[in-house]
Amino acid sequence: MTAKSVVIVEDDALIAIYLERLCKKYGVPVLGTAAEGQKAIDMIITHRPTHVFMDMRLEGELDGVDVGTAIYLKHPEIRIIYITGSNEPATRARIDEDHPYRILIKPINPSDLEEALA
Amino acid sequence: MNAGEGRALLKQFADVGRQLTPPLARASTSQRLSSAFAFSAALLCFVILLQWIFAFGDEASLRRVSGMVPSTAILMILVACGLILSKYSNNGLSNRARWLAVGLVLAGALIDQELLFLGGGTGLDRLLIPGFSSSVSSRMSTMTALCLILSSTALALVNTERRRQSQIFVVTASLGLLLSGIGLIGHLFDSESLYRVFVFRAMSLPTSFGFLLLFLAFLISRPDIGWVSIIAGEGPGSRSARRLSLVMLGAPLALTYAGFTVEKYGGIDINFLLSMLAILMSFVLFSGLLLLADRDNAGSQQQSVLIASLERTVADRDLLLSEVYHRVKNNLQQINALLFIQAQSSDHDGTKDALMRMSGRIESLGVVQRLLLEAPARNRLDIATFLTELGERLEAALSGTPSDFKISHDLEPQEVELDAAITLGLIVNELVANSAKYAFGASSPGSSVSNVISIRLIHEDDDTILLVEDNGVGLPHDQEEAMPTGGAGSTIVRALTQQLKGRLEIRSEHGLCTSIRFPNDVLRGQSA
Repeated sequence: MTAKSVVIVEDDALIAIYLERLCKKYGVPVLGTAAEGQKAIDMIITHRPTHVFMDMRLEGELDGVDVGTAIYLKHPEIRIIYITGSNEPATRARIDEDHPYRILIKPINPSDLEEALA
Repeated sequence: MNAGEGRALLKQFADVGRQLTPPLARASTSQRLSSAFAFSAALLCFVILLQWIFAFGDEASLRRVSGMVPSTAILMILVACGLILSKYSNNGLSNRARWLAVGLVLAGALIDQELLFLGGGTGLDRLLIPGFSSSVSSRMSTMTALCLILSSTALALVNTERRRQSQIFVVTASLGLLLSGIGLIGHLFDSESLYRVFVFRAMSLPTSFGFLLLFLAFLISRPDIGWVSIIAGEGPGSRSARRLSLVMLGAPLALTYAGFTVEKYGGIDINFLLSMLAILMSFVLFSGLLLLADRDNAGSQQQSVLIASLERTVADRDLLLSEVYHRVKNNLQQINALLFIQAQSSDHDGTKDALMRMSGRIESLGVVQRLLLEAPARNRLDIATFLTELGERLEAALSGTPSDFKISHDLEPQEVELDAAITLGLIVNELVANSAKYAFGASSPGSSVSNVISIRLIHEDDDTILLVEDNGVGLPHDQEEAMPTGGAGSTIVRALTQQLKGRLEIRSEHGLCTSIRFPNDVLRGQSA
């Protein structure tokens, strides 16, 4: 199995740092953090992580599912873990348009995150 | 929101509107109108009765008195007085008087008809008044007797609140109105032809008019039932009915009367006249129909505009609500992130520990938020689901700090109010965190299998008991009081227990056992 790595797509700086620290704690390197959709796509394609932490609401035009779908078309093997503040049916339906590996609801449980990375 | 719900909402608005209209204001107008009609009918009869009295004894004058016989006049006055009385007083005495009037009128009409058919053509008047004229027109007509019977029936039922009786009242009064209407119009057109119909024979113009007033008075006196309720209603349909009724009722009459006059003087063929009348009537009715249809269309269009705007409002609210929930969860996540970052950058173990316990508390609140959006009702939660998920989270977060442990659950589903659920969650969070920290010591890895913290809820009739137990070392012997006052965990548990009107008990036998007894009505949010 290849070494795990992560790109964090999150527009909230505090939460991005939190996720970064958690990854560090679990020994998974973070290859980059992006707050805006198009930058996130570029970054993921450049770094090719094994996992992506994907927020739903991002800066700019694109939302998390737009980014996720774009990534899936090029690199379906990248596992996308959605981390969202909303677990309403509308949001779930939107996420299910993509191919989510996991969906975690904020505030997340660190052990769920560890399990998703395992 | 779909259209059906929108309509239900509109109906609710309409009902509220109806309740807001003072019933007295509506009632008194119709009662006054009804009494005025009844009084006019009585006055008419009274004038005719006076004529009879002044003409009495003079055969020539008697013949000139207009049609209504004294018996009819007296009985009709009885009905009218009974109606007015029933509207202005509703005690036992007035009820007895009303029933007396009903009985007298019924008996009078029946006896008169019996005398007429079986007694060789003598009516009530000729029996009671010696020397009363024996001409045909000076007797009570069969139709008059029928109208008296109908009106006494209506008088008997005028104040009823029962459904079936109300229906009979409306049918009776409406039939009376129709029959007296035929009599009246018959007189306006051609009295001779009216009298050629047996049952109407000898039903005079004043009698017809008097009954018309009387039956109108009956119907108007109950604007809450029957078709009168449609005319008297507040709705847009009732308004157009009121506006159209004069035309719709008057036009056929006017047309027919015009036809009748033309036929009498102009010599137009009767069949052609009938066909003309037929087409003109159809035209009038069809115009009325189209007018109503147009109003109906406008009304329903207005309704759909209203429903659409309500739907937009509801959608906006939904969006706002989900936005608020989203913000709450995001804020909890931000607070947690802050605590985590601060804890990581702290060198002091005590500080780190305190911050991580804080973070645990925030996560417990987060679990409630998460479950809340999945719950069917947003103000209640199943406490079993909640505490199970919380327990799993606590086990994952706290096991291994310092020693491993398992959490066991014994929870039955119970719906509790949201605030109570949050409070219970925070209490469980503190108790489990406390056990995790102190119960098992720094154990060797092998012993971790037997380390258990159990969360149980016991349901009794009036109370629910929360039990959080561990199989650890229990209280140290030198510590008298479990959870000494002053510690953050202790303060939180005691305060939250008090908030839910619970009673806290701590035992230390084979470990620490905390039991809190909560009244069920507090958990269900029924005692605010």
